[in-house]
Amino acid sequence: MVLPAALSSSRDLSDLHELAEQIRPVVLARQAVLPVCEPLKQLIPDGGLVRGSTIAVGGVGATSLALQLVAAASKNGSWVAVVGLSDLAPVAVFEAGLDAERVAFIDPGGSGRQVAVVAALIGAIDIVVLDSRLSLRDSDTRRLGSRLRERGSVLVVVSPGNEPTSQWPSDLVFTVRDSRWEGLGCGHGHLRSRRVRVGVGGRGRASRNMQHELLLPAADGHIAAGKFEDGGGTVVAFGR
Amino acid sequence: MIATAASADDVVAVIAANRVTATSPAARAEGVEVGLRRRDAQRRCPGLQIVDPDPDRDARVFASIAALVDRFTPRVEMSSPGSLAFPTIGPSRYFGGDEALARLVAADIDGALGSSGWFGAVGVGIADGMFAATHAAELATAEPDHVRVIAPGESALFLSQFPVSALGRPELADVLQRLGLRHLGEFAALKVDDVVARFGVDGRLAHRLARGLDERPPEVGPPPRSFDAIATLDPPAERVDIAAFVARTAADQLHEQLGAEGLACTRLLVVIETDSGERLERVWRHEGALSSTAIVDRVRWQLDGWLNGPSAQRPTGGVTRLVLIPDEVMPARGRQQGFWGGETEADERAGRALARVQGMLGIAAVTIPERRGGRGPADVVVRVPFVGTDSGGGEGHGVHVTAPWPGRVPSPMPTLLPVDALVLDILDGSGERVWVTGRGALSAEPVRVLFSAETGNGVAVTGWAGPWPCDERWWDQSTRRRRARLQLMLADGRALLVQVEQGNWSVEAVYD
Repeated sequence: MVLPAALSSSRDLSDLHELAEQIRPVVLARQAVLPVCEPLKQLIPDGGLVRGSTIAVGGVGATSLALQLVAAASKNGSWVAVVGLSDLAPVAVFEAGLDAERVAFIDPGGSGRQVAVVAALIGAIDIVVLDSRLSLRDSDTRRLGSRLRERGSVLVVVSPGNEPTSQWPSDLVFTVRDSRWEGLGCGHGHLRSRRVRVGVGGRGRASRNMQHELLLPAADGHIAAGKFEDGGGTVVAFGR
Repeated sequence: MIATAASADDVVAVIAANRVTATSPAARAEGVEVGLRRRDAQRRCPGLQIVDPDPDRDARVFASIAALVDRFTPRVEMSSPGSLAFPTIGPSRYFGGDEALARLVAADIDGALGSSGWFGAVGVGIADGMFAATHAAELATAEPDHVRVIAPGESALFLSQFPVSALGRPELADVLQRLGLRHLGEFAALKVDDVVARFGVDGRLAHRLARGLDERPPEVGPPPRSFDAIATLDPPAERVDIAAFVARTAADQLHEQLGAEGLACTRLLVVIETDSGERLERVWRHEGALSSTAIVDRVRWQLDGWLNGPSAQRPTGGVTRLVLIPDEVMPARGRQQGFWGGETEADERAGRALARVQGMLGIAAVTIPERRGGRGPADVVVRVPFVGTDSGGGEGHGVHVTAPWPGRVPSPMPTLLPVDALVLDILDGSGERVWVTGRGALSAEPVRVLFSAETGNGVAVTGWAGPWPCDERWWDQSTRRRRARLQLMLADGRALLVQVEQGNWSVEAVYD
C-alpha cells in the first residue's frame, strides 16, 4: 500500500489514527450504530443509536428529544415508524429534520394486536418510536426485546410529560427536566428556545448518570456546544 | 342475414319496433323490403309471416357460420349476429387475391346454408374499411356470385353515392339533410375541423366512416394470450393479511408474465372465491400502470372491505381461490426511478412491513405526513393514509405549501396536538375570566390557568403572548373558523398554544 504523500511525511499522527480507524476490519456490536446529531453524540457513550438497543425517553420535552434523537438517522436513510403517540403533531417531524418520506405513523388502536404490529415492524423498520402508554405485558416486552436484538432495529420508548418507562429493559434512559422556555415575555415575544437539563443513564458505559444542559431547540436553529455549568456536564445546543 | 327456420318459399319477415329488419327471398320477391313499416309490409304481401327478433337464436345459428370462416383466417371479428369481418391482408394473398378469397368464402357459406336447411342471403364485400365493406356486402347479396370487391382506395368513391342515413345516425342524418347534404360524398367533402366544431366527436367518427375510413381498425395483433394469475389457498384464509400474502405471489407472477411481453396492466379484475362458493369480483383501474405492490394493495382493500364489511355481506367461508385477470394492458413505459438512490431494498422492506400492518389494522391506521398550507400547527402538515412504497410522503402538492400564510403560528412549532379537546379557563389577578375583546385585545393579563381535567388552584402563568386573532375561510359559512391564539408559559415548565373560539378556551397544542 502506498501511503498518501501527506501521511508519509508524518505530518499528522491524527490522520494516521483516523485511517487506522477506517480500515479496521472488525466491527463490534456496539459500533453498528445509527448516527445522531452532534450535541447528542456527546451524551451517548457509543456515539449513536446502537442497533438492537432500547432507549427510554421521559419528562417534559421528551417528544422533542426523541425526535431529535432519530432525526440524523432518518436523514441518513433509515425508516422511522411511530407507534401510538396519536397526539404527535406531524409538523414536529418536519421541524425536527426527519426525512418525511421515510416516516410512518401507526395507530395500533386498543386492539390486542399491538404486540403483533410492533413485531412486524421490528427488523423491517430501523427505528420504531413507541408510546409508553401502550398496554403491553412484561412478557411481551421481553419477547419484543429479544426480537429487537436479533433483528437490529432501535426502539425508542417515549413517555411525554412522565418519568421514562421502566417496563422496558432500556440500554439508555433520557430524562428531561427543568424545562425553561425563553423568548416569551408578558404580552410580547414568542417562544424561541428552551433550556433543559437532560439526565442520561442506562446500562453498561451509560450507567454513570450524567447531567447535561441542552437547548431544545436553540433560538438560531443551529447546533452549538456551550460551556460547563455546575461542574456536571456540557452545555450544548441544537436546533430544530 | 339469417331469418328463421322455414322453407325457402315461405314469405317471412322479422319485424322489430314496427320495422322490417330481415326478409326471406320469397318475401323480397313480393316487395317486402327492409325498413318497411309492418302495415306497409302486410299490405304488399297479405300472407306475410311475421317473426319476432331473437338475438340469441341469431347468434346461435351464426356461430356455425363464424366457425366456417375460421378456416380461412383466425382473426374473425363478430360485430353482431349476421355480420362478421376479418382483415384480408394475410388470407387473400394465400387464396389468390381479394376476389378469389371472397368467392371461396361466399361459396362455402352458401353451401353450408343450403345443406343445413337454413336460408339467407350471403354477401361478401371487401373494402378499405369495415363500414364500406358492410355496405358492399349488402349490395353483394344481389350479385350472382354474392361478391362485391371495392378496389383499394376507392371506398370513399363507392360510399359517396349512399344516402347520409346509411351512417346509422338518424339525428345526424336529419340535420345533414336539412343542411342540403344528401349523400355521403357531400358530407365527406366537408373539412374535418368544421365537422368537429359542429357535430363533436361522434360527428367526426361519422365523417371518418363517410370518407371510407374506419372508426377503428379491426384487430390485427396476435390473439391475446391469457395472463390470468390464479392462487389457490389451502387451508382457506380467514384473515386479510394471510390472503394478501398469497396475493403477493400471484401479483408477482402476473407482473412477471406481463413484463416478459413488455406490457403493463392498467385495469385489473380481481376475483375472490370462498369455500362455500361465494364469489366477489371487482375491477380496479389505475392511471399509470399497476405495479405488483399496487396490485396487492388493491386485493387487500377488496378483501378488507369484504371480510370486515357489514355482516350481511360477509362471506361464510374462508378464501380458497384468488384470480387476477388483467382486463386492460398497454405497452409498459417503465417506471422512472429517482436519480440519487430512489427506491432501495430497505424502502421496499419497510413498505412491505407497513402494508402488512395495514392489513392487520386497516388502511387508515398507517399514515404518512404530508405538507399542506395553513396557519395552525394542525394545518401545516397532515397525516394521509399510506399507499405503497411508490407514494412516499413529504412535500404535498399544491401551491399553498409555499404561500406566505400571514398570521401563522411562529416556529418552533408545538410537538403535541391533544386528541381530545383539553378545556381550560384563564383567570386574571382578581380571579375573573380573561376573554378576547372585539378589537382583538385581552380583557386583562392572564395570571392563572385552571384545567377542567385537573383539580386544585390551577397553575401560575409565567409568560404569555398574544392574542393572535385568526379569521379563516370567512367566505364559507360551513368551514369558517374565527378564533384567537395565545402562547402561555406555565410555572411547571409547560408551554401551551391555547385558543379561544366562541368564548371557550382550549389547548390547541403543547410544546413538549
